[in-house]
Amino acid sequence: MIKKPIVFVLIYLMAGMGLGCSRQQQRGPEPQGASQGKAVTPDVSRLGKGSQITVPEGSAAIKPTSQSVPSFTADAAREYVLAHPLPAFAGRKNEKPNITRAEFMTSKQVKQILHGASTGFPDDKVLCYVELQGPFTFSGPPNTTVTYPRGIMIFNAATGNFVMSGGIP
Amino acid sequence: MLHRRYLPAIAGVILCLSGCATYKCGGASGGHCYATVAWGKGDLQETDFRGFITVLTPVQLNKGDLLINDELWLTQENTSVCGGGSCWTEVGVTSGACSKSSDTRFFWADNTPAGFLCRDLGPVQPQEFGQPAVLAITKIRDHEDVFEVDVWPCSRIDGVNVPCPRRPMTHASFGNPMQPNVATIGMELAGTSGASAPAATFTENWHPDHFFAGAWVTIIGSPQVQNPPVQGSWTVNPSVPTEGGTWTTSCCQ
Repeated sequence: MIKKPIVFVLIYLMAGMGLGCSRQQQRGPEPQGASQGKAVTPDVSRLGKGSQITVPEGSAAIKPTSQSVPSFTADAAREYVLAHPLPAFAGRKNEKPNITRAEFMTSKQVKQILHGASTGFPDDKVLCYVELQGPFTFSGPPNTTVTYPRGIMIFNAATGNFVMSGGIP
Repeated sequence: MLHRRYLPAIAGVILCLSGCATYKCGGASGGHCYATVAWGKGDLQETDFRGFITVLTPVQLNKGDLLINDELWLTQENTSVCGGGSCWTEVGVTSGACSKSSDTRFFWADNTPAGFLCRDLGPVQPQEFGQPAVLAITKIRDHEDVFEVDVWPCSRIDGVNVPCPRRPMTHASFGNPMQPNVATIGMELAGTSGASAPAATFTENWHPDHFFAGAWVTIIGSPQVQNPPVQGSWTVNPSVPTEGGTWTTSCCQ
């Protein structure tokens, strides 16, 4: 199922940017090179061409203990999360977030929990989903924060890499 | 004899004066320091503000005791659609965000009705430091709730060659109903001590429109720099005919 939106994105990227190619220079100011008779103009048409949706690589976290997938246990994920808690936890001082869920599921199932937000992985990719009781606060651009009651940490079930984190309503 | 006893402390003070960075930039829950410049939709005279593109030269970031980022944000401020009163998408390089690692890594994140989600895209490769990397967040045409998020190390948007292999990474922010009204580029720092970052530049600042035509940024926007500990300034003014000016950030001397 996830392939459909990805295909849409790629088609629209290539179509949209291809169409835009002929118009892209209409409002670009003349850069410094123009004084030498050679105007440099942005080549945004290159964006999206030949590129594929890239999965999050993540960073080494849980050490695999088998060659199969999942390559580690849910208990190993719990241990990792307890040892490396989300810094965004905004509970009381000396309080630690509780793990309310730690299980393996497909990317499609994770996507359903996240109300359609993409993990970046194909639908059938197995991930380890860990959910914590918050609150968790995250910072955005200047003067912007957001607090959610639940935190999540997601691991690649094959490699044990920590690939994604955040907060959900 | 007395002065010998205090030598380590004196040495520590001297070391600190010469390079030990301590600061008050909040914690995980906010109060961060920024060296940013922002443009509103009106500033850029965009009736259809669909995205923003910048070219960052990644540098080695040291997160200190929390995190430090050089990045691009595209935001819809003052909306009840997303939590916290803002929807946003961000992309850039980080030490400390979205990862337990302390090395310098590419990342992207979004705050949508589904929540705040941050993805670790892996480390900046050695040959990519100091070379231009395209960062782009753009709304996909005819898909009102999908944004494309691009990280293209070793690439520029003006066609000039870069002496390292391109490594395009494209991502999609689905379920993102953001109607952007602010674009922001620059540095974010959180924590109290130890962070450092040499000068990084944001060039080729460009805002595309519906047809991916668009324009270089030509106005200085609204700088917000909490100096110290972070530094940020226009080292090439965008109001002169350049490719969107050069915004330069660093930390924390």
